[in-house]
Amino acid sequence: MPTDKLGIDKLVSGILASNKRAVAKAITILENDLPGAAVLLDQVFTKTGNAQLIGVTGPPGAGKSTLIEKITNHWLQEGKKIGIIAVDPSSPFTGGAILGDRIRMKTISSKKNVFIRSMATRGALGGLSPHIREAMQILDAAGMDKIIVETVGVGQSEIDIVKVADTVILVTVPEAGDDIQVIKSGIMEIGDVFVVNKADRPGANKMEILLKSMIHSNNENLTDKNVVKTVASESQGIDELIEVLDNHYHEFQVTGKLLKRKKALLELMLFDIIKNHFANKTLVKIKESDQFKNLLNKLAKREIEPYSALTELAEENQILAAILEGK
Amino acid sequence: MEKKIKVLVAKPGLDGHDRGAKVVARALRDAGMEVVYTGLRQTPEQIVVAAIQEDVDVIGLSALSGAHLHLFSEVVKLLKEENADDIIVIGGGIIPEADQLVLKEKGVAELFTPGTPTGEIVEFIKTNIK
Ligand SMILES: Nc1nc2c(ncn2[C@@H]2O[C@H](COP(=O)(O)OP(=O)(O)O)[C@@H](O)[C@H]2O)c(=O)[nH]1
Ligand SMILES: [Mg+2]
Repeated sequence: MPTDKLGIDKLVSGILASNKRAVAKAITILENDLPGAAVLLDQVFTKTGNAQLIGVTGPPGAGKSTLIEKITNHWLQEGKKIGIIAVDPSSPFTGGAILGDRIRMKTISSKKNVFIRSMATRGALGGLSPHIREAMQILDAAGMDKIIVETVGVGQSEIDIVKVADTVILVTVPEAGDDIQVIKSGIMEIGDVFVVNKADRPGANKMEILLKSMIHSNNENLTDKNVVKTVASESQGIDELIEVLDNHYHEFQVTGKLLKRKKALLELMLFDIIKNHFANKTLVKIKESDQFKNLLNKLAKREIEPYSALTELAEENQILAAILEGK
Repeated sequence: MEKKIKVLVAKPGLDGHDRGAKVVARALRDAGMEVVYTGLRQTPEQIVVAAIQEDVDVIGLSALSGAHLHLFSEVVKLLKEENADDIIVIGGGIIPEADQLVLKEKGVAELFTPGTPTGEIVEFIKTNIK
């Protein structure tokens, strides 16, 4: 793994030239937090910000992967470059994972202008990989026009997608209409575009009407034009979906909403970086300090109370002291 | 953080079931590995493209008969052409001993016959990746 300075430089020029091997290696470095990850990210950052970031979420089996294959095919014909990241869950017991979304993307997986990467959640709860954002930035720097992320999609917990996407597509199926709770549970607010896939099955119209009425009561920024029926496996409704996506994105651009969203995403990113590299490490340092161990011993002997321990700890740490004083 | 082991499991060729491939995929997952499963009917080109984009450490190929011989060697050859022959290729299936020798000579790292305990495959991967 080329993690020394020379190796990273080579990798960066490879990424900027859209070299797939370089892109793949870079994502591995970021995904595994290998040495050089931070340098790598900083070196590509100025080349990012150009891709449309699209999240696709919805219950397992709704047809997300199939749908992604179809819209990718459509955009390929327009000469676009498409990066896809498909996330599947890690086993909480073994840490292993089976990543199977490629099975549904066979017609695009070998195309020159497509890059597909599968990632596991590795314990993250939001339906995404902990390093999804970094992986997206590599694809962005590699010149992808659209970056599509498929989330795990398990009920409420997949809402992290809004933290990394400009546009979120929520995929449902006709049967979901019977279970309104599924849709009510906070998930309506995260969608920009709603797809009723498997519209070859009974209940699609009912589901469409239901979605439209829920949009009216949930989100004043949306119109019911953003609801589309598709049969992804038969390539039906794809043109309509593309039109809705394009219109939505265009509206986002001309009204300045996109800039706002991109800035909000950057805020989240910077905050996460600070949290990971500063807060977490600070906490570990405190926990490993002699002072902490002494306090813990005293605590065990009931010689000190927990909040007094906190005050004592803060006496040796300026930032903690400032927080304690309410500054 | 230690890098997770990532494996691509594929079933090249036009015919067949992927039951064996799925059993292996699950065993590797249960051993803590991340397994990209690409399903049936993959050409050697498709397998190599996926292996490179996924940046896997190992490709596991499943065969139903010696007829898949040339597909295995094709994968190894394409990896070399792409400068990606640091990826280990292993195979499983009903492969006559003579063919096994040929394949190993061509660069397939190991072959596992039906009935091999999956633990052996796990061990092989763990000890042989860099
Ligand atoms: N009947 C029907 N089946 C579909 C449709 N779209 C996808 N499927 C099938 O639904 C299954 C799950 O699709 P997949 O894309 O893997 O769903 P995901 O888990 O949301 O990614 C596959 O067998 C697809 O072929 C559709 O519009 N109608
Ligand atoms: Mg899928």
